[in-house]
Amino acid sequence: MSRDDILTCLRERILAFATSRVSRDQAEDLTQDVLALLHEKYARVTDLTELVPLAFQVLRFKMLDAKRKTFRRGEYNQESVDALPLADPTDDPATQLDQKQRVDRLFSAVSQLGDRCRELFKWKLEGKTFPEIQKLMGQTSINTIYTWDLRCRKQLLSLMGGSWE
Amino acid sequence: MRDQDLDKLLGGFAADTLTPEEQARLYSAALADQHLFDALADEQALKELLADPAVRRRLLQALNQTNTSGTATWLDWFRRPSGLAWAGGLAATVVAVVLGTKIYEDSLKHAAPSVATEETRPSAPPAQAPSSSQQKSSPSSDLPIEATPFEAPEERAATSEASLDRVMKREQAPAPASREQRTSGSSPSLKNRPGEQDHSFSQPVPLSDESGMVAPHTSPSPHKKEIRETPASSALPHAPLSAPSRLIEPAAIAPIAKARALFYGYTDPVTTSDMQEAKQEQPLTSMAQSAPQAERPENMGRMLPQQGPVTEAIDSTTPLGLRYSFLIQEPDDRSREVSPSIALSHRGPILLTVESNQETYLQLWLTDASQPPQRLLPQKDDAQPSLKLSAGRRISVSLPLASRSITIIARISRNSVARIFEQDLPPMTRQTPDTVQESVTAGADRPRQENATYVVNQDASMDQLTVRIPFPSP
Repeated sequence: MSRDDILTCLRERILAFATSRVSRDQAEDLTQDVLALLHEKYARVTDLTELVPLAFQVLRFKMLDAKRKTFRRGEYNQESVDALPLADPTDDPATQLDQKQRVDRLFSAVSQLGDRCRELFKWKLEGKTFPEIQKLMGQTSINTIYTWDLRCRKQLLSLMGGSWE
Repeated sequence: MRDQDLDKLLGGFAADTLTPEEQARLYSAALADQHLFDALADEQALKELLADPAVRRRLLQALNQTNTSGTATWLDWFRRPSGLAWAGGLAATVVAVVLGTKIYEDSLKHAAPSVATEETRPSAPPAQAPSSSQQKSSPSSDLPIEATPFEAPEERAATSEASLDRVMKREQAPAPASREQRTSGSSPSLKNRPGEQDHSFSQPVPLSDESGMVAPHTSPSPHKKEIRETPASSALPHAPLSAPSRLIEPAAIAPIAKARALFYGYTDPVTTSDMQEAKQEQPLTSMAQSAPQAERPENMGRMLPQQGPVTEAIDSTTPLGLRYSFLIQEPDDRSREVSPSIALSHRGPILLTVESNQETYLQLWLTDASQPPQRLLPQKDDAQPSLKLSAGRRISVSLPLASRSITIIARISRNSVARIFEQDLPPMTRQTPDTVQESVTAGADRPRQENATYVVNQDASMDQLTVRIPFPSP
């Protein structure tokens, strides 16, 4: 699959995903921004296994930026732009607090996992791949590891309230 | 791995531990599957968190701290689906056992009173028993009963219980004891049980007008024994004033000797009377019209000690019995059994109802002082000399209103060609000797009244029975 083909599929998926989260116009703007960035700044990235995760990362940043812009423009509380402070290039305290809270929720959720899930999660954090985890856990089939990991992920997501955000 | 199972690789995407092959397959599938793409986009938030080395290090430290507390282990065990299933199943089992135990206990509680009721039901007649003073004043000289020695109340109660037990056993016996055995008094087992002797139908029990239950029924026959619902305790001259009511319980055996009990074959008198009362709601039938009561044999058979239809329970060895009553019609078109005195004051038609306890052949004659005997059933112009009367089937005949002082003579026989049917009724026909007769009226505990008279021939070998039915009853 060529880079253009990948970007074509990515545009379609990104637009659909963004439309499910924001309005149609904003989704199109988001998609355009993501693709423009991938095309201009990351033109050298052509491999599928690099381009797709990069697109996810750019998409997330763009969506967070759009949310911040929407908040700054007062589209939620209709406050005057003049009353808002100037933009800070680093993460604002709200973002930092949000990330801290997410981390806390993640710790709390991980601590409630079972032994197997904790082991599995630990080995993944240590960078072990699924085939390596299969050997560590003494399983003959890697599908067993996939299934265990899927269940543990769903359990972790449930313990975090149904969203990673 | 199938394409539809590629979402299992999402966990590796966040931790960035997918192999190149897994990444290629996952991303290729994500480009083709919007659902998988959305999941990966959502997973990006976790991936961003785990990409932070500080967060990853803290998570690893937290995961390395093994939780060894038993509570956490139990909580973890409960969180597993299998643990939940086990816990749910165990809880359901416990609930089922508890409920089953409770239901079983409730059933036992319900069963106990019913058994007690059955055991104490025969003692219902003593509810009309006179007081202890009446017991003391009642004559007992006619009875060959030895005086009961004085016993302490506890001993007397124990003796009464033992006596009741023996009575119950005797009632359950297939055949009752002979008259001689019951009246001999020589048996030591009977000496301390005067109640049993009192209620043996061979004993002439002194009459008591204070029972209020049974109207006396005189009989022209000197051999006829009149059995009334007189408390047997009247034969207990030495009963203490403070004697508990349980001492009167031997009266429970009284129904054995009653004509009604003999008629129905030792049935529970209360139940029998209830059955009789239930049937009195039937509308009046026309003259000489039989009143088929198909439910009767079944009811009788149910109450008899022996199982099976009444025709089998009452065979030729059963004493021949006749039941008669007077019926009047009430304004609501329902018939009611009344006493002869009430029937006499009734302005409407009066029916005489006759029933036999086994298959017999019946003749009814009407005698009047001014006229020769007339045959009521079968009628004069009927070629049949007798009318077949099935067991448990009542036949009603309207009484002529011209004369208010008549006598009906009922003759029944097991044989249709009996000699008594071949000849006309003599003017002074006497009632069959050696019969036991009982007139039953209702008490306050019965919602509907039964006013009937039972006449049973004590000699079971006799095939015929003649009963004089005076109207009004003297």
